[in-house]
Amino acid sequence: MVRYKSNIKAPFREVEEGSLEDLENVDTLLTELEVSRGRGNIIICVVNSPLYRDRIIQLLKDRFRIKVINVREGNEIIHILKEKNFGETDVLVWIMPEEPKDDIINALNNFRELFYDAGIPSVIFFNSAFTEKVIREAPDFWRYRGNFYEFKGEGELPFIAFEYLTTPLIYENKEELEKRREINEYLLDKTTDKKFKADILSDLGLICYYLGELDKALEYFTKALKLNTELERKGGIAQNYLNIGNVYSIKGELDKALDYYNKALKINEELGRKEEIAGCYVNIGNVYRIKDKLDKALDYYNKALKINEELGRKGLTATIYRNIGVIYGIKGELDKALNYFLKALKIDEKLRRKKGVAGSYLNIGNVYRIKGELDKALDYYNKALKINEELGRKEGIADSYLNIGNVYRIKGELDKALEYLNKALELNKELGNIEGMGITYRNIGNVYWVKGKLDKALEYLNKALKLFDKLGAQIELFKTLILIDNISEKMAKKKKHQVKQ
Amino acid sequence: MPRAENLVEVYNNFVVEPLRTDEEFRDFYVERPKGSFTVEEIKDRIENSKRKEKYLFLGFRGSGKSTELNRLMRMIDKSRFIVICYSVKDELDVNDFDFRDFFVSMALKIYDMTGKENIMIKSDIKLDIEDFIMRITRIEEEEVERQKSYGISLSKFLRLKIGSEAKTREYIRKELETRISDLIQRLNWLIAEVEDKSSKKIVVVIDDLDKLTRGEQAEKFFYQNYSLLLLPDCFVVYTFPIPLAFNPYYENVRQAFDGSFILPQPPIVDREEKLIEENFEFYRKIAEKRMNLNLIDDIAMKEAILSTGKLSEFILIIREAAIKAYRNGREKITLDEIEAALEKLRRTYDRTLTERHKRRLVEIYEKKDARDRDEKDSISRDLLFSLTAVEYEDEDGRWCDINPILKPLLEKWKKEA
Repeated sequence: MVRYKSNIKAPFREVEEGSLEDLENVDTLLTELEVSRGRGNIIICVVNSPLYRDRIIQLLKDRFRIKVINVREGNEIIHILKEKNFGETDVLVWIMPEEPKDDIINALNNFRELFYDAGIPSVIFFNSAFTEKVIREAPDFWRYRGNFYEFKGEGELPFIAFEYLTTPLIYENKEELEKRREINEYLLDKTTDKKFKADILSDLGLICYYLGELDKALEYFTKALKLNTELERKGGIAQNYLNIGNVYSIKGELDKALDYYNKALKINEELGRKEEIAGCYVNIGNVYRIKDKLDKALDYYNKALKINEELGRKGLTATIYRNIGVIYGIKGELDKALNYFLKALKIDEKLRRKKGVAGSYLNIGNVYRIKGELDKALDYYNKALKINEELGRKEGIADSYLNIGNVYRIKGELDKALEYLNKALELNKELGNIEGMGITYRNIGNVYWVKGKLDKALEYLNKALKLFDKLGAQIELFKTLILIDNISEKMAKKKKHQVKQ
Repeated sequence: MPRAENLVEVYNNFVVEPLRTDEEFRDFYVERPKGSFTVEEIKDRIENSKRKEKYLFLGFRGSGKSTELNRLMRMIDKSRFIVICYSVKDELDVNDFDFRDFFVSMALKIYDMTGKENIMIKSDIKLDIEDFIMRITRIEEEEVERQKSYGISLSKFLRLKIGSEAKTREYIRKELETRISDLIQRLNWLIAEVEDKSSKKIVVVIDDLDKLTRGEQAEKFFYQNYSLLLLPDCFVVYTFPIPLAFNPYYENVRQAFDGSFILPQPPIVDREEKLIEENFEFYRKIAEKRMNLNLIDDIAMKEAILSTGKLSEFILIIREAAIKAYRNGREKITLDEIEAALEKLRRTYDRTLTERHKRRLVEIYEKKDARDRDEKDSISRDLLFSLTAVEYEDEDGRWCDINPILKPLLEKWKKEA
């Protein structure tokens, strides 16, 4: 017998789009609260997005009589728990501030028994940065807790960080890249000059990298590396190492990526090439960010920032600011993240680096979306859209449409949501971006589900499923399967009900 | 507290709280493994000593310190002793703590007890101490009278003010700057009078002084003013912050007291990673007292004990696994639930630790010792504070190791280093 299976109700859509782990967490949380009714308990929920958090709280509200307390200072916690003025409340819900202040950490650590003496369970929400401080500085509270849950929120990481590229290509569209590839391939065949050949191979590698043809990119970079090694061109070797590192980083082979970045770093240090050293630090930081070693990533970004500020290279500084912002975004320190994104934006605007500006707008939009300030989020997504349209960056346009569509879905403006999602779908089809198509299909399916059009929802979800299957994207595939499963179950129940009638 | 017969009861029986009531001791208490220190030793010393001794009581978080202090309180012969046990957290502001406030609160606690135990102390002594405390706290008679009319006693009112008003604490500190001996003299008059009238000796047990580990306040209290802690003319058991014991000053302090006792955590494996059966059995018995062991697979229990090896974490893991198993519709906890709970906790620790912490943990594991390099270095202390490193004791003395839950991460950390 499975108890409390599928506690998730229709209004809690966001969690269904979150990870599978989240679904399970919500179920367990509800079960835990159910069995600790009438007893003191400390249940910690780590969630970075206030919007997502509020949806979890809404779910608790559907099930229990809750009292929500937005904590501002430590004394408040002690006072409320000592007063015990809870009336008919079943569960106390505490929302901790974004920044872990010492007085709150002290109050939690020193008065943790009060949570048990309260006679009703407490669910305490805070972000990842707060968790770290609790583990380090409030170990008694941490030890006294009941369960703790980490909610991932929407599956994909919404923030965009940039990597450092040795010679970034400026191009308008895919056709332009293809054209450059053709010319380079032609020249490669003609030239006998090894040095020139090595440069062409490096260039071809970069083009393939941009086009997402990673194995080919790797092949070109490796060939270039071989030639540069023969020619003892240290600068070229360092460049090739860095680019090979970038390929491995995207492929998810992070240890290999680190290895190559460190090789590049070593040569650049020997040559005293400061900008390249800073670039290596940025990319090493990116690997640690992906590995979830956020403090280490931050260390590398700061090292890069220091060098870069000395050199006065503003472009890379903007990239570093953006990436630092991403770290804070992941940690749930949204105001800090916003601050860095705004700093990056300011530089990119000044330098007229439109791609960077669009990236910053998107990140800022994401911060507001996570905070639940949906109109502001829309505003920034629209700004990003406008720039991407100016640049003719179809991928960027499609991403903007997708984000705008999703905000309308959260707002409940479902027709508008469909309008934007369909636009995103068309562009992704044009681009041949299978993953983008799959994600958009799934989002459209979601909108139909909320609209109660289950057949249509299934139709789109099945389309998404096929694409993810083709791509071998297991996690996306699984997430989509779960949605299909839930809808099918719902349809079966509906039919059964109709038959009975 | 009936033994859990289903998973929901397991969840509710496995709570990390010190044992307090007769019922809890009867149903849940497990004798600590033989050979290790127990509070019986303190009890024997108090009951047989001619001097009014002062002791330091040390123990890591989660080693069962508060439970043992509660036991001590219950064991001492009440026909010969008055035991006053309190937590500094309830009396004072632990974020703004000073030895002067501490002695005022101790005097008030003893004064309070005379009312509760109906001990009629000499009115001169009573009035003198009341006047003295009102003077140093600058509280007016009228204010006291008003509170009395609401049913709040003088001592309770004063304790509330000291605990919650920074201004009152400021007055006390200023007034007692050069007159702390005046206060201690009055404290000792009070103790002498109580002991005379009741024909019993006073034992004061102060819990949670080890929570003063934040900032410099603990060091100030125990290192700079430790000689004052020896002055109250009664038995006193002070809980002592264990991270301070890793400081060279500790030796001076320790020698000044009549005894220092460390409540060890029973390690599951010895320095050579060999299983210590008796200690393993200690943890298993704790579980057995709280739940019917048919509710957990043997292999799951073994994994929970071996991977935690620390009382509070062991209890938390069983609790989390119980709710998972219940939700999954299982009738008992399996290895799956235990492993999932362990992995989640491990992941969280891993993310929280910095590279320096990890390097030091690898060192602690290899050397079985945790020392800071110099006065500026506090990494080992931080690790012991956050319980990612733990200290044990055996016949060869004290030794340290990393929290067993982190051991599967060692190889990864070594590679990263």
